[in-house]
Amino acid sequence: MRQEIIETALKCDADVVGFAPASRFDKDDAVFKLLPTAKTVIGLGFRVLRGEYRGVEEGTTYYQYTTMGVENLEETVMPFALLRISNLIEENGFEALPQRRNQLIMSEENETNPEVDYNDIFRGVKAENQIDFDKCAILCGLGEKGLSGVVLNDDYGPFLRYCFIITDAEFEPTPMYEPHLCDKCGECIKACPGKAIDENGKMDSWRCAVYYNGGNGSKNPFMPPDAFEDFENRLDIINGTAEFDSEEAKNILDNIYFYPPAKHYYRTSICGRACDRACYIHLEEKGVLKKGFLRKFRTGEDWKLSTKQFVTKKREKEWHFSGRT
Amino acid sequence: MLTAEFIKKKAKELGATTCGIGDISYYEGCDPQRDPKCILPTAKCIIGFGMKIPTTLYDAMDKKVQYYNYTNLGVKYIDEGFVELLLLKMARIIEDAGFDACLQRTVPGLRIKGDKTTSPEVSQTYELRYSSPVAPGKPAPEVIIDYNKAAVICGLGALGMNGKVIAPKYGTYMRYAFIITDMPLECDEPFCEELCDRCGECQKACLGKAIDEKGVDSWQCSVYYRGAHKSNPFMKDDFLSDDPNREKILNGDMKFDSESAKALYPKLKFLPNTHFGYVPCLCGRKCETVCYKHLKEAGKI
Repeated sequence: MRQEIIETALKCDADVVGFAPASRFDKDDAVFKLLPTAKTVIGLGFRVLRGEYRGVEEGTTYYQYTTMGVENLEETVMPFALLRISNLIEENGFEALPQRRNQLIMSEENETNPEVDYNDIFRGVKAENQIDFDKCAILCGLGEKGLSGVVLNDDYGPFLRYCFIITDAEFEPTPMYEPHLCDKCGECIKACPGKAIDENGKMDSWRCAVYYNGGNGSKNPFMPPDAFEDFENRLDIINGTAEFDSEEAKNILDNIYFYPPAKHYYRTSICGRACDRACYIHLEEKGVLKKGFLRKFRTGEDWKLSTKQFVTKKREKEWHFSGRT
Repeated sequence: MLTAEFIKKKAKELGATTCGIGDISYYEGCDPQRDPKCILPTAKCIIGFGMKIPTTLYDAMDKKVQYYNYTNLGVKYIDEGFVELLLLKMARIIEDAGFDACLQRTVPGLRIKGDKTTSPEVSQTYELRYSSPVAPGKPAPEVIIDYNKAAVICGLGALGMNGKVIAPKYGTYMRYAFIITDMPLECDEPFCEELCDRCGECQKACLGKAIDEKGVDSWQCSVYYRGAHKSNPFMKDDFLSDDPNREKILNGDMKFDSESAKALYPKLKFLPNTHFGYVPCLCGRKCETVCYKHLKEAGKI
């Protein structure tokens, strides 16, 4: 059945598949609350196409990353694979509990998820048990933990999204990674336009949300020169240096309306996952990614907009449209 | 190395009705905000995929027996479900060969800076009016390719008077999606046959008189697409009863601009929107059905 699961997963557009025996999990892990008889967690990794990051990398197109690289994978591709494989396992007489990332529910009281509207999240929900996705990916042998907390894979670096199946069937385990990809270079930290990752790799989810949504004027081509007009610290916000707590973050997020949400409840990523792109570029430069491309992902300097316009509240040069009106 | 033949065969296996490959050089000199090379500077070609909408969905609207499934299956599902999967699967093949693949599905809710038009198919459109280029030589984002032009360059069809691409076999009953890639592939010639004979049937058929010699007035179209004409079978007798322009509106004689169109939208709620804000088509796409019939009779498709 192991091979059949792998083949089905690949047919359903998974790129990597791994099997973690229950013995790799602590006894109090959510895995056992969800399925006390669990013997294996099966991990499926789906690549976010490099071409989906291209538009943000060039600073020209933003819509396709969120719709295709986030929403399509999470809402369509992964659920289809989970259901197919879970049914396959059940037909073989075992239990199979599919696990997709529930973007709108969290047990934490005061965290957020940058990919969705903070208002839509139900916080402090402890009765809805959820597994730790990054930890599961590592225990399934799909990658290693990078400095920013992202899981790094030999083929795709940080450009993967994951889902899982908890089952009482036993399978030959996939070996776990001996960490060898992340060299703690700190490129992810430097790349974040909101300085949301500290030197130890700890992510501030509210900072991440503000800048994922485009709070930094030097990395948001859709921001008007008079953005955040009512904020005393508007230039600090725009420069990514403002200090703020979760309440202030909510206020800032309420004033980021320069680009509409993609679809479902997904917010459009304006930072374009700068941390992940910087990591990928570094790994590619080092030549450690097994999956190669004809051309390097980044060939020149990263772009950065002048923030002078936000001081003067005027565009230095206005762009004129040459098409239909 | 993958071949054009393989790409086309695979696309059809995955459900595309047609597939063509266009040379990126045909975009030379085009508006940078529509230029695929502003998305992928190393692009060599653009791969176009045509998805057929079942003819009977149009027939059902033409006979006034069903409207909603056209929007739900023929518009929403193709663009939001089917196309996304097709593009993903095709792009994975291209990436596995070591080339970049930038997916281009429709972007119905967005308008590039300066574009004051709308899409009649969705509840609202948003113009990215504050955007500015991120570096000299680049256009202001969002770069959104011209889908009609891309379909022509990929050899999939010719542009008709009603603003739709006419495919040689299926007329306008198609939707399109694209992949911009740096993979060198043998390209098709742009479609150069004239399928539209400028008969003007689409112009005459439009309930809102939204089509003229210059093209389609998108705001006018959006009002009558939503069912403002008296032929809308879901319209109640008291519709717009307090409006002094009622007769003009119901007869399709009222001229709408963006403001007056948006002001009327809240009253044009005859059926619910589908997921993702797609507005039910209640004009029956008459501009397309008459075009299809005309082309069939003329032996052009």
